[in-house]
Amino acid sequence: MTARPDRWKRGLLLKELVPALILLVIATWALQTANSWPSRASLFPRWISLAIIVLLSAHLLASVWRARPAGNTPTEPAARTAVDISVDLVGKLRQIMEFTVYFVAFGAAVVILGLATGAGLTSLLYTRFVHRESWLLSVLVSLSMVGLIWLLDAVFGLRFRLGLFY
Amino acid sequence: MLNALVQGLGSLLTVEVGSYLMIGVLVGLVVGILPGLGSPGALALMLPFTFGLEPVSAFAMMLSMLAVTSITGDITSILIGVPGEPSSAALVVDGYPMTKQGQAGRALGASLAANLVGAIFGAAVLAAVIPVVRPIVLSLRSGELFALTVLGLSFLGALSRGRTLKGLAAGAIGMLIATIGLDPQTGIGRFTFGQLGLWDGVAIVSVAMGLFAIPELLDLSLRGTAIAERAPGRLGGLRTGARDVSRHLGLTLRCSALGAIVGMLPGMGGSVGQWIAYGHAVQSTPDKSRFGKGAIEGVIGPGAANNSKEGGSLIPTVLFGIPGGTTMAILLGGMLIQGLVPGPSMLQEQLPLTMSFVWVIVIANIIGVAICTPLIGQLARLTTVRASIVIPIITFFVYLGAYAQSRLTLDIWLTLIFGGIGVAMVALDWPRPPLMLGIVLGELAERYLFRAVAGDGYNWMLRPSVLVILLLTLVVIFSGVRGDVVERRRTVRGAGEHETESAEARDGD
Repeated sequence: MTARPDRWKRGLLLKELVPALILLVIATWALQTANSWPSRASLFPRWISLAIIVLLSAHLLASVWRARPAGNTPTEPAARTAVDISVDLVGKLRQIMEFTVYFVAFGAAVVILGLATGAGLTSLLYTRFVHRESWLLSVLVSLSMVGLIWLLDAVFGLRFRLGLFY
Repeated sequence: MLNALVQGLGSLLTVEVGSYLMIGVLVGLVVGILPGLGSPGALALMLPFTFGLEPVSAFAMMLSMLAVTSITGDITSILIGVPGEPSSAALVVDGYPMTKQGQAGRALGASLAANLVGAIFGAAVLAAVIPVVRPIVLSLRSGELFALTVLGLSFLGALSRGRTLKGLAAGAIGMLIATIGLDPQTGIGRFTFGQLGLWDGVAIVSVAMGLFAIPELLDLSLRGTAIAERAPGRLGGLRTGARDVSRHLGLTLRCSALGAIVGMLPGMGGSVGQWIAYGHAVQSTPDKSRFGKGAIEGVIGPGAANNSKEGGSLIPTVLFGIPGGTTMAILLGGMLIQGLVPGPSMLQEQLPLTMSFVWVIVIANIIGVAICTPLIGQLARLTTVRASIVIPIITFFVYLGAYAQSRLTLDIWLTLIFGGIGVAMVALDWPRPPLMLGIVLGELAERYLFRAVAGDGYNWMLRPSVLVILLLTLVVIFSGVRGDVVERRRTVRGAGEHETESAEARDGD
């Protein structure tokens, strides 16, 4: 029975330690880089880098202290079956992947095809194939977005990106 | 002062400014009713549209949006038991039971009327406080202003409940990110990695949208459905609800005052104010047994506090550069985009603009309530809009915003990077507002520090006023860390007792 809390604590420790260590390395690099600049340019970055190093070190120490063997684990999750967790995880991961691909593709399409064409096309594909909406609704969403771009251009005078091929 | 108040009102009475105010109100009403999109994300999405606007138009649009989100946020709390905004959660306790009893119209009428009274009260507090605080703000020098930016950051960091050290570190990291670009004093490129696009620093809009809009969008995508399957039917009894507010005017005004005071305290915000107001409504009502089952006082109290908080939270943000919460931190970013600096200049050259904020809150709420009263049923239908339609539209606004400021592809990638950081921060339980605030305040803090050191060496640190502010900063940090330790001990003790009870139950079986 004691194995699970220990494993959970190790997971908790990893979740706290890894990001803090990465940030600590970045702050140390920033401090070193700032030291090579003239004093007027480096004054503020040096102060801030030092503050980050102190705060992250304190956070690291506090995380290690909390994960020491003695004592209870405050945030241990409620017991669930392995099947529940794996089904949740796979489903969520698939959704996150779908969203990430869609979001990055939207950005790439805007850069390559321009805002109106890129946004319209990606929205059509996303609404139709990810959310499995009808063709009619997908086309309507896509067209309304192109209309919105035209409206915003007219109201706010924003000059939109035309894409790499224009 | 009175002259500035009149000038502030006059600056809003043009077709152009009025149109932007109206756009803000309409966006705010829609944002408030969609639980997938909160006001911080919506405000971030709105920032790019303010670049080409005059400050008065830009703030008419942003502030009116913020001022009315809680009006429609309350509607979903009452009708379907799902708060449209975090600050509308307390309305669920008594508003939703009233809907189940067939009194939805009465609850909505009371909520709308309380919102309006609360908003006017909050705006009046803002107008009344400015002349009192003005001499203090004008006496501040660079050293004190630098200390105040550090205090503001500590407030937001230390009040990230249970994560004080992370909050403070996030704020400091934000300040380090703010140093990216050409150094204003020497012209040396700092942390630019040879990218010309980074010479002007990291765009606040890319940061705001990446940190707040993208995680909300991902969350909306993971939930994937509309919040309500069916729109509510016809709603009657709005007038009865409005009459309830006039019958309980004392309670409405007291809860408005509570909302404004809590709004002024950095890190507290509307989410806390509504519950304090609800608690007061319970305490001050003789028959406490009605609460939780559909007491009208339980709707009026939080409804009034919700809308009075905006006036209160603008006071530390505009006058001292200390934002009370996430939306105010983003609004501060909007001020910097407009070339406005919080503090003395807002009370000297920009006093009419500052006073126009008071009127924006009042006018936006009057328009918001006027729109909601006849259209409340139709607005409630927005809760049935599916995520598959909302997500592409918001994605479009994210990319539009990323690109609109500088028209550089680099800003699109920066938005994606900050989006990844925002999602990681949510997943790893790091607070995002301090990072945003650090980036917003970083440039100001560096300027104040440089001026203080250039003028007076390090002697400015020994000035009594600076010492008081720095001492207050230490107290805030210490109390935050202490609060974390106490909370953790309480949770551990709770977990221990739960384990003992479970073991006893198992032994009993």
